[in-house]
Amino acid sequence: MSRSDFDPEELEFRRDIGAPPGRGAGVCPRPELLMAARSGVAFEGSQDVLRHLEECRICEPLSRDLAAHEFPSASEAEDRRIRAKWQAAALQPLRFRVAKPLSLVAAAALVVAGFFVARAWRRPAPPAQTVQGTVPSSPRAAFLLTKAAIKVPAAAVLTYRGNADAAKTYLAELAAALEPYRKDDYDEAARRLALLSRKYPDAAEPAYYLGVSQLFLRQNPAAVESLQTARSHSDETLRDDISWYLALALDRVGRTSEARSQAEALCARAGEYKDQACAALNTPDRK
Amino acid sequence: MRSGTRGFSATLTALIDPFWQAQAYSVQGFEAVYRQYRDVVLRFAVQCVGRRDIAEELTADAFLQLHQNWNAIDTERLPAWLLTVVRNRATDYWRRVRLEQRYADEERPSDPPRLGGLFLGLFENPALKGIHRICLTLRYVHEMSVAEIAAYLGLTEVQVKGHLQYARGLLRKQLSPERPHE
Repeated sequence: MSRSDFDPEELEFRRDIGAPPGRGAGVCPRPELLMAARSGVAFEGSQDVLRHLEECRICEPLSRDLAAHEFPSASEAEDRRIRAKWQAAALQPLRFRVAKPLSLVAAAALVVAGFFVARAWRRPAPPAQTVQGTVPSSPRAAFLLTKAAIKVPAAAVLTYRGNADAAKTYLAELAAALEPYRKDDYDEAARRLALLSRKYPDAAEPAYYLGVSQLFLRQNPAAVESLQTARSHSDETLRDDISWYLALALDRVGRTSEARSQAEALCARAGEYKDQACAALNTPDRK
Repeated sequence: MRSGTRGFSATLTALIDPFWQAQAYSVQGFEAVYRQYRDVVLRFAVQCVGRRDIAEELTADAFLQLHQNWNAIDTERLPAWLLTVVRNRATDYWRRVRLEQRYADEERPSDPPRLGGLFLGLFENPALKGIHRICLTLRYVHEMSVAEIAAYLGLTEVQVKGHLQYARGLLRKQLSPERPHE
């Protein structure tokens, strides 16, 4: 977060008020950590942050002011995306609950009607209309693309703790390649990650984040390839993440049954993607 | 036979109507709750993670969970229930981020300078509003760029520059008479 982009007026101001030269507060935790701790989020070191908050004459008023700051309400785009998530799930239980009693009633109605019609007119019943034909085609709402969180590979962490230079270099290069990804610059992220993927052909992470970036760039066939590569090299850390994005990529290229297999596996086990995978399975297929 | 059919029809109506009424009530109820608490939850999520995009994900997750537990949740427990979901998700988020951060931290200097008393005193100026103090602190203590401050606070860069300019002007006035004594 350290910056040296002050204009001359700001530099003079900093000198006048005796601000520390160069690197910022340093000892003070980043504002987002201050606010997380203040909001009751428990993370590694959150107690230290809270202790600091009590004592620091900069952080205490800052956190108080930030707590009182009126952050903007959800924009239309944000509202749309937030709604999309629960509305996709809303379709599923509603259809299930509607279908169950209606099917019982319909079955009873058919039996009774069939009995009376057969007796009264002795004519064959008209062929039943298929419900499927009346369902309007709608886009699959549950396979929504959201940005994948960046996760540190567990294997690399373990190696790194053992001071392996190679792992350290790999992590540094991965971090650099993920920098544009963090900033939503998927073009540049894909370019860097493709290079890294070639340099470390046995590593899952570059191929995984490359695949996710390609999904954002709508390069769907390439995304399938990258994610399949990632899966062949991944450990448990990224297994579900890769499966979810692979399902999404497969769905986009029309390989629906393979996408369903991925989603079924995720839906069947507890994990981060269970809910959305189950919701995806219960959303009508695209026509 | 007619009375039998009418009876069956009545049974059918009796079965279906309460069901549809309950469904409609449920959907309307959830929509109302969503509208009522969406911004409260989103703002809290921003406080918890400091990033608007992540906060949006957390908010969506919270409402998804609420939807999944809709029949079991007493609306009297809202929005506290939603905020708890956000807090738990934020904990997961920070766990991941802190793991990554360890490596970045090792590249940083570990002996930062302490801040001077004059510097602290200026920031306690009662003429400054909260937003001025926030912008000043983020800019001159945390050395965030104007763009970063704008993104963090949900303001435009022009607004942030305006707040900074105003606050600097105010503080300079306060600083001027002290200069001869320095």
